[in-house]
Amino acid sequence: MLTEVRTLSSPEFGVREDVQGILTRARAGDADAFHAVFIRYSKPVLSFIYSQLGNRAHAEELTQETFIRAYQRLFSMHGNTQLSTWLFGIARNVVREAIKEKYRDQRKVELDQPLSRTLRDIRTGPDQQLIAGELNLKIQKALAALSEDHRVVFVLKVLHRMRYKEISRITGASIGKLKTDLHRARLEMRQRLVPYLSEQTAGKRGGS
Amino acid sequence: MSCKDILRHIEDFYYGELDEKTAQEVQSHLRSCQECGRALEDLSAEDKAYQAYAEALDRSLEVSPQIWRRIQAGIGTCKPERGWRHPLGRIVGFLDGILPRSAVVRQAVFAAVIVVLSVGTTLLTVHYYRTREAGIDDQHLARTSDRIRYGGSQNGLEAAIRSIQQAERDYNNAIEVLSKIVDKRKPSLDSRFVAELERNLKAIDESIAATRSAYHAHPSDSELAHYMLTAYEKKVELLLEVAS
Repeated sequence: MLTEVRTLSSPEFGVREDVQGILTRARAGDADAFHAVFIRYSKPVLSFIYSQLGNRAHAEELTQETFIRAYQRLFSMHGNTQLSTWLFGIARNVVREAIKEKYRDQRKVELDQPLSRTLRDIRTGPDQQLIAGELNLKIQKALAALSEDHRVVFVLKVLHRMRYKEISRITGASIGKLKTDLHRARLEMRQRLVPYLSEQTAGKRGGS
Repeated sequence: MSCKDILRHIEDFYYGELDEKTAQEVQSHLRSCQECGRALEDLSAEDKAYQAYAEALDRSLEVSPQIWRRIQAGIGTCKPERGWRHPLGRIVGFLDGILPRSAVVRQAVFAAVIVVLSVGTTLLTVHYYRTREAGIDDQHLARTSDRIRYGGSQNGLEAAIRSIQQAERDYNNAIEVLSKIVDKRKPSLDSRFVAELERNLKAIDESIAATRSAYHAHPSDSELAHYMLTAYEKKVELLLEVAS
């Protein structure tokens, strides 16, 4: 779960510093201050992007793009916005653009493919070795099969434990739509994972 | 609440997204209904599997130092872009950052915000006159330039000049309040940042002096008034940034 912080460790001074102070320094062009932001949030952002794409190299590339874009747009971040929400919003756009770009490239040769199918298929192949365990691999595959909207809300709510309010700010979708999407995503995941999840459920019941 | 209602709310209940009253109703139903209790257990077991996946992912994904090196190369020596921001967004952000502080500071902040809002109204007035000016210009080329400026009437001209003078006073008041807050914050700021800030403030002050002198020599010139007020606005903007 990603919790918002009020202070960050400054790599330059080795002490914890107020987030607003770090942002002010970063806005003045201080790369060390921005490094503190990167240290705190790069892993959740990388994980979010990886969950969208299923490919580590591509996720690293887009994490890099997210932080470059964030740095350039530091002045567009309002004081009442959580830093994590703002960064995830940028990451979400970066991923969408990458998917669209790949879609356009692929569309040139696959004009007869239906859009939804193509959007799912253009995800780079998942890294089979990254996560060990049969159930984890099944979850990864099931996630990959979700539509983009369903996957985003599932990843942010279930894996990153964000509030609907934050997810709404990141995606621009209404809370009502997010709840519907999450419910459908959960049903789809359940359908694909039934034999594996039922072991967990049975285990829990047996143990309780 | 019926079982159907409970199943509709169960995900929100599980994630703590329900209001207190509804959560209590769900809780009380779950105590007495085995079927719904089982649905919650299933959801919880399923969620544990997803959490285990999230943890495995977290353990496996290490951020390579190369990513930061590439970001450094990407941003180079550029500073973040100073894009246009809605003044209200800035004010809201400022309040957000400053509210937990002392009552004296809060009072000063609210005073500054009111001043900024009042100046904002003046800028809108100037903008309105300038827009009208453009429209009239096209249709009534024979009119004198003085009458075209500020809406084409002597009353309009006087009202706009009064409004601009008031805006200038308001900006100076805002700058005074904010400068005091910034001066108090300076010792806690990085010395390089303070040096950069002072360099920027000096540049803005020079701009204010130049535009002010030009405008006071030609008080009926809306273009010069706009430049002067923009220079003041920049100073308030920078001070707000540091004070927040």
